[in-house]
Amino acid sequence: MKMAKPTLTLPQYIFLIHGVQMGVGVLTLPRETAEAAGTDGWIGIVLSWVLATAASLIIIQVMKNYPKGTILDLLRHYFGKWIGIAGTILFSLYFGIMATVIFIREALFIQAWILPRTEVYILIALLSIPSYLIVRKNITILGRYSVLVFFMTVWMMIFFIIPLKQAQWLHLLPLLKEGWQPILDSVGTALFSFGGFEIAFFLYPFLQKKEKASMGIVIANTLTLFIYLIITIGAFVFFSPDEITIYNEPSIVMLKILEFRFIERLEIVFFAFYLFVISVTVLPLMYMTVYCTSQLAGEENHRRHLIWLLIIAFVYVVLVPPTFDQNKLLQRLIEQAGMVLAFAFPLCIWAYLLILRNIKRRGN
Amino acid sequence: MAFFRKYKKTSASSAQQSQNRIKSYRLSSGLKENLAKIQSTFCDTPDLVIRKLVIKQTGSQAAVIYLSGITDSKAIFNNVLDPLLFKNDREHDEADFKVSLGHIREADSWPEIEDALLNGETVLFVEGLAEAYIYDTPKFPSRSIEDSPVETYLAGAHVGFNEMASVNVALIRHQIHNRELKIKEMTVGERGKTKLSILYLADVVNPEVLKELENRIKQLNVDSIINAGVLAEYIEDQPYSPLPQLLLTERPDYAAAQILQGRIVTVVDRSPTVIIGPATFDVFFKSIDDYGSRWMVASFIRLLRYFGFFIAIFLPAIYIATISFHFEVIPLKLLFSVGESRERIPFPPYIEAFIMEFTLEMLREAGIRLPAKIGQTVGIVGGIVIGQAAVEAGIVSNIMVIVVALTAIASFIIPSYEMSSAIRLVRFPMMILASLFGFVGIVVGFMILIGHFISLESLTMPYGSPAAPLRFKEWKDVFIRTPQWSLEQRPTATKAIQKTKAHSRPPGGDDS
Amino acid sequence: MRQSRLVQASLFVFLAAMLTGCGSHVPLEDLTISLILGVDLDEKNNLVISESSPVFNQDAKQNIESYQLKAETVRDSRKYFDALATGEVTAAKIQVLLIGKRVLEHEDWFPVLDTVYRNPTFSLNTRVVVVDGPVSDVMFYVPPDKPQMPLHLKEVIDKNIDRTRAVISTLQVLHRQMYESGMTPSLSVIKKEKDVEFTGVVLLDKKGKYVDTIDAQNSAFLLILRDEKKQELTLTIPMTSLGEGGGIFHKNQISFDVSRVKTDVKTSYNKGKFDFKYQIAMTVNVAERLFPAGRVNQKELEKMIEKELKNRLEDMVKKFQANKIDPIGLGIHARAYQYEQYKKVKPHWDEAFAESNIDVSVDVRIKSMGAVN
Repeated sequence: MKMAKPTLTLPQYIFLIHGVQMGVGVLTLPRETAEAAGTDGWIGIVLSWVLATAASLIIIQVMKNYPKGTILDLLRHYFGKWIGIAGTILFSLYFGIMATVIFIREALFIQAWILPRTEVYILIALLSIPSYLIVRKNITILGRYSVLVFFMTVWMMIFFIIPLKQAQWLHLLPLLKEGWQPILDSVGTALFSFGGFEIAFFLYPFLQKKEKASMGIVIANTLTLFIYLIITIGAFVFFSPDEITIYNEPSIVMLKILEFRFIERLEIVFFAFYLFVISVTVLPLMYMTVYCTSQLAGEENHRRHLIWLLIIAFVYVVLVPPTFDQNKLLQRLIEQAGMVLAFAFPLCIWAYLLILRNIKRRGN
Repeated sequence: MAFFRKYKKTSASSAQQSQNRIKSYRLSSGLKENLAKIQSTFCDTPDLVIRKLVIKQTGSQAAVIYLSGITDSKAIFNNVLDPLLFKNDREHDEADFKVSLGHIREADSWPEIEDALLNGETVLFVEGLAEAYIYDTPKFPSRSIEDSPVETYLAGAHVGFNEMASVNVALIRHQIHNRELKIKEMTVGERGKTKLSILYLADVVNPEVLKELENRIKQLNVDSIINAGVLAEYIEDQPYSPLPQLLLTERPDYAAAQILQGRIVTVVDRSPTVIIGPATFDVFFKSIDDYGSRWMVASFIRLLRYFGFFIAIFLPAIYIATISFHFEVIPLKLLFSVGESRERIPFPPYIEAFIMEFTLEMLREAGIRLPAKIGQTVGIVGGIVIGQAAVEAGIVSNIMVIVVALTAIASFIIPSYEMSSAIRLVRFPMMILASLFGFVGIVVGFMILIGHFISLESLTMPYGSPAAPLRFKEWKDVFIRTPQWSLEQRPTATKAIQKTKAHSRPPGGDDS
Repeated sequence: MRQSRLVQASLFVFLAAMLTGCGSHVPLEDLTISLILGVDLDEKNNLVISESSPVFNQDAKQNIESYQLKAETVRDSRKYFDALATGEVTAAKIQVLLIGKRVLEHEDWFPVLDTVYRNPTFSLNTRVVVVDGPVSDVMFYVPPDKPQMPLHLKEVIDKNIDRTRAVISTLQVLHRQMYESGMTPSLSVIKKEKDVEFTGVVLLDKKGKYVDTIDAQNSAFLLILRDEKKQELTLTIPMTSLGEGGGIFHKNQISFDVSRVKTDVKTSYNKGKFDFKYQIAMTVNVAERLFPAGRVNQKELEKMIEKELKNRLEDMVKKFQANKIDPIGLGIHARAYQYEQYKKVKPHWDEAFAESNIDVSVDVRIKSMGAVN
């Protein structure tokens, strides 16, 4: 058995990033943006896409300074060992909490919508099995998984098109009802849904064709934008603007009205399949967590750490039975931390590296 | 695993030592000693024939020894005994014991002599010579070349491999007349000494893959390879997987087609099956018929097979999940008929499903083990009598019988027997998951399956290609088959060094 | 590596053992699947909930069981149903939700249905149908010559939706119309006379209170105004300008299939009033004509139909304005095109609607006169 260094092809890189961006946010996104900006909320999503893409490109610029290693190696190289370790701990905490929160949210959703009689901790145990089997492998396998799952689940978007025959497109008018202020407010919430591109910090060294990194991350963001737009606009024209904020997860309620001659209640089937979509969010996050911790411990193999991560998540759920509110609160907190990591952090490092280079050039 | 490997190494080296010891036993120059030695080595071997004679040419005492039954007695009488006994050709001064056979060699050690005798060759000892002559006279019992009874196709040559490696190699050579078709021979098995012939196109196959295969075979240390399936299990990448990672076939045209794709064929002597690697998941869904029939028909049948694949794995699980968890997805009118047929059934759906699935598997196995004529009776008894009676007795529901029948048919349309057995096996864990968690369980099972599928390798090449890693360009020959002239490339999963095949554009071009 | 396999294996065994201990689910045959849910008030204004579900057992004389009882809420009723029915009562397959007209005569009845929206088990495709009379009449009616009541009711409603006579009124649509400030709800209505029959559409006001009923033909006009033509739309109207038809057979009747209808609304705001201009373009095929061909040519006929339709549509709109209800959803148009003005009147859109100018113009083109001249 040869141990070739794992690499990522461009599609794997794109769909890994895109997969992490999707996830549970899309279920609540129409309500959240509508709460802030009514049916103009979709403009906020487009604006968030601009911001997210800009931040992604900065991340790539930063990583170009040290193409052989991840952000952890870059920190160690430019800032010394201790900052490197601190960065590793921060990243592993961030990814770990993020992964656990979404993992638990996944179980909560299943319990609420499909299996009301099953305990959450049992669902966590069940979902741990495929998670373990996939994450214990390397990043190439995760990349393959993301690509395959994307193409396996992308047809589900059709489900969001069918309800549009009941749509009332007039809901979208007039544009800019209340001016720009509410739209800018909605950017605040919509931006969270684009979070996840920061894993590019870790994917960059594995990418085969580094010159396409910028293009790839833009494609990933744009893909996410398209899916968000289809779902959000779909929900806006399907629901009355006065009622959309009443539903917790409008994206699913929309599917509840679908029925065909051979199958009814499609939201149940959809939700079961939606586990795939959530898994491409959770699994890379888990991988990143154990990647960081195993770097910290100086171990080649991350399996042991993965088992511990899953056990911790399980024990946490058994000891503190999760509720939606508590989970949402945690998510809000970690997303705010994510904003710092995804937007402020790369900007600072980028500026620092630019200054550093200028000083060097002047010195020469 | 590491432990295993160490064990293999030590036993291999001890075998070598003992071989060296035997090698020191040279032949003696006395005929009597040699014969005594032979008789002691092959005691209790009634088919050993020792024919003492005086060679007319030189007048020296000699003995011809062979194992009757695995030798060609006609060749021995006409081409060995006859010239030795009666010919007296004085053209050459030196005695060279002329016989009229193609292949003659000399040997001077006991192991060689033993091997030769067991291979059906004839040994000639001559008084005063410390070496023996070995004549190529083997004739093992073999059956004639027939259509393979296991793999039946509509198109393609009606020729199947038989148990003789030399015949099998010849059959493949017959398909590929090319000097780049190379054959590497290896011997495996401490006792069986099975001859393996590795066939490949030297300018197409990737040398690293070839080397990997050779290494794996070289590391083997077993008594004997009884058939190709044994060897495949020893050399496949992931023995803990339910999915077959190497192709097995009995058809020379199929094997030749795979060689042309850049794969490597291993012919196992004494087995009518050859091993083809590296395999990908999709080749198990292709048959030679796909290329023999028109491409639209072939594409349709391909799609049918993949559909059958999903039905065979998931249908019973979906039945269990919908009946026990998510009955609301069933449309109302169907719900009425399902409800009516379920009403009398005393068992929960998963028990009902397990009863029927096990019955089906037993029927299938019984059908194989029985002679063909009785086998049909079993089918009728099982299918009609048990099915009908079980429904009437209210043990299983009508719907369940339909589900089971559909699953069975769906699993049988997959051309590879290994793959269809694997699918039937995977179905049971799916049913358990479905009975515990409904659709969520099925999706989790599917996820596990995918996770396994994407990390699986065959001779270190990705098994999931061209789905994972994704290579859209090669989808021309996966779920559908586009016309022959559009298939110009060999699959990437074989890592062929010559990627493009010989190809031509369709006649007439665009304006036809 | 060997050790880790052992760990893996034992982990799986542990998980499997734990997972198998949790199969608490009820298979289909042990459920009592409600197909109709009824909500009504009795004479003393107590909430009465009823349900009806199929019986799969072949020994049972009737293949449907129905119960009616008093309960505090819809959810509360389940415990009483459980006490009565064979299996666990489930709401997942409710096809039709019947609401008694007595319920609609009170304001703010909508929260009664809260559980239907809050509980994910309920289907949002359930047809909401108003019963003109007590719900129990329909619930306990077992027609000898028809399929089971739930199936029959659903088919009747769906067929009338396809023929553009009944409004789409699923739970989801009702929810939307109840919350939409620019529209008032409307529901299909059935009545039990000798048989259960579809009679038309009831119109509710903003708070869900009953206001008016319109018959099947008029509901077709309502749907034209809403631009919601479904698969087929046939209108039969007398040509009053041809004078009274003689005899017992009304000889001036004409029926036509509307093959295409396009409804445009121009919205403007003038002098403190909203202005809505309907422009309805129709392409029709004549399906039935009782008066002889010679009396009018095609152009005249088109004009006549236009006039008749315009009168009827305007009458209907006038009636809506008088009742201060907006089942056409003109408020949505007002919001889309006159947002600033609409925002001011949003809380009492019904008043603003009543005062606004609405005029209708119809443009009819006859595409074919059919197979005979």
